[in-house]
Amino acid sequence: METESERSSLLLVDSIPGLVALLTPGGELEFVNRQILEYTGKTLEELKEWGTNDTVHPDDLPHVIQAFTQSIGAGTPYAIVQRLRRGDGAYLWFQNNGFPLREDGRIVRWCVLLTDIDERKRAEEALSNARSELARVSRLTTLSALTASIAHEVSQPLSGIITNASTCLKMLDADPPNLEGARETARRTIRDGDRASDVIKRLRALFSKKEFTLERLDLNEAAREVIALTSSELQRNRVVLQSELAADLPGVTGDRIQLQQVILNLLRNASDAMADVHDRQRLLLIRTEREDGDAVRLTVRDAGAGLAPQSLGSMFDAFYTTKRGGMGIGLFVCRSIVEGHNGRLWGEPNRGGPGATFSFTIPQGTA
Amino acid sequence: MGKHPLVSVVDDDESVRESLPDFLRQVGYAAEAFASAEAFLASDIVDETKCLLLDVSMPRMSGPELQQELMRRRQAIPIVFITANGDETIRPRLLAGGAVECLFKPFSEKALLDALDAAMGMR
Repeated sequence: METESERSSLLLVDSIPGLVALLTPGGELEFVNRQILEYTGKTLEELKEWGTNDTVHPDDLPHVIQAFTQSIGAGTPYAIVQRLRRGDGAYLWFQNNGFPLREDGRIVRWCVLLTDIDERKRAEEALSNARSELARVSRLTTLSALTASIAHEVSQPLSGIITNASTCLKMLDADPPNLEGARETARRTIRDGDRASDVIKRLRALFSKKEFTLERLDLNEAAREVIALTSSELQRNRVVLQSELAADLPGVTGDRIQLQQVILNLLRNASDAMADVHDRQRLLLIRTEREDGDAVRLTVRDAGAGLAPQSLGSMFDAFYTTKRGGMGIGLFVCRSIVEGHNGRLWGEPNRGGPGATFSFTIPQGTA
Repeated sequence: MGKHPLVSVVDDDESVRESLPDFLRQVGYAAEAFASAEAFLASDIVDETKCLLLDVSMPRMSGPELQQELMRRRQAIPIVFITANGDETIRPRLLAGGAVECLFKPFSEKALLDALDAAMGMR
């Protein structure tokens, strides 16, 4: 670094508001600007040992060394994100860009530019935490609604079991005992017990899988299980469910529980949308079909209040809701699940009638 | 009051319609079962019914709607609601509306007998 032009270059590098380092063609640290010295609180000699001291965050070091070594070897630029130790010991996030400076095609030096992206990085982390919190809350609300419908499904047969067994005892205690009646009530007790265990079996099928498991699955089958679990709730809301599940539906690869959450959410939304409908049938149609281009489509159509034009753009946003007491995260989570399966979820007002239709498509071979 | 006071069961759940009348007959009541509120209203035993065991949620006319209809017709039949809905907040509302009791399925033999006693005491 002797020529006049190099001295002025170094002056320039020292003055720019960023962290800049210059390295030999072999990757040895040769020069760091004032900003690096001030930020790290280290000397150039200490910084030369960055591969073995605490300059780079220990969790990022292997990755940084690998990218750096590979780049120097190949003579190609690198761009990585890493944490760099500040003088007070705090590690902040930096974008690290390294590129070769060439003269006549020959690498004469490497330049490293470190840009502080700490604030952006932390905002991203906060956003990602908020997203997983949303997903968790949505799971909980789905779970509590599901718990209510399970309790309902199990209470019915349990009630029958208790009444039948009480009657059976009384018939046996009568003088003379009513044996034929006792047999009949015992038979009913068993049948109600079978009913309760069917509910448990359906639940097992729904929840036995671990979270985020990809498997080949039949969307019709998944939809049928959700329908079975929600039918009494729909009936209570006086919704007439009509299902048109395509017989020739190809299988898809995906997370069964997540997709069932989507179906559950769409059915429940459709049912809620018809709560104030009194002048026509509360008809809910669920349909599956083969879609052009090797995809399958599931559609849920209601005869409810429909969609206001101004809500079309925002209804998939988090915290957007038109329901009293709603949190507005159902559709937001649904869309992220469907998009996680490389699919698409959308809603539109019904043509030529009241209500709305929500549909999603998933590619057949998605993984 | 006859020898066997008549209790009518109105519930869309078939196993309730099967099991409750047999039980009621075993403990000294006469019993009839109906699958809907409409079927009960159309029957000729509304006047004779001394107590109504009434499901809250049914596909067409609900239990509370039947209660309203009976009040409109000035037929004061004591009502014991039965429900498989676990939402306990409906109980105070139903009691405030004039029901004798609200039993959550599954209910015990004793809870049912106590509710029937209370209903009969009102006559």
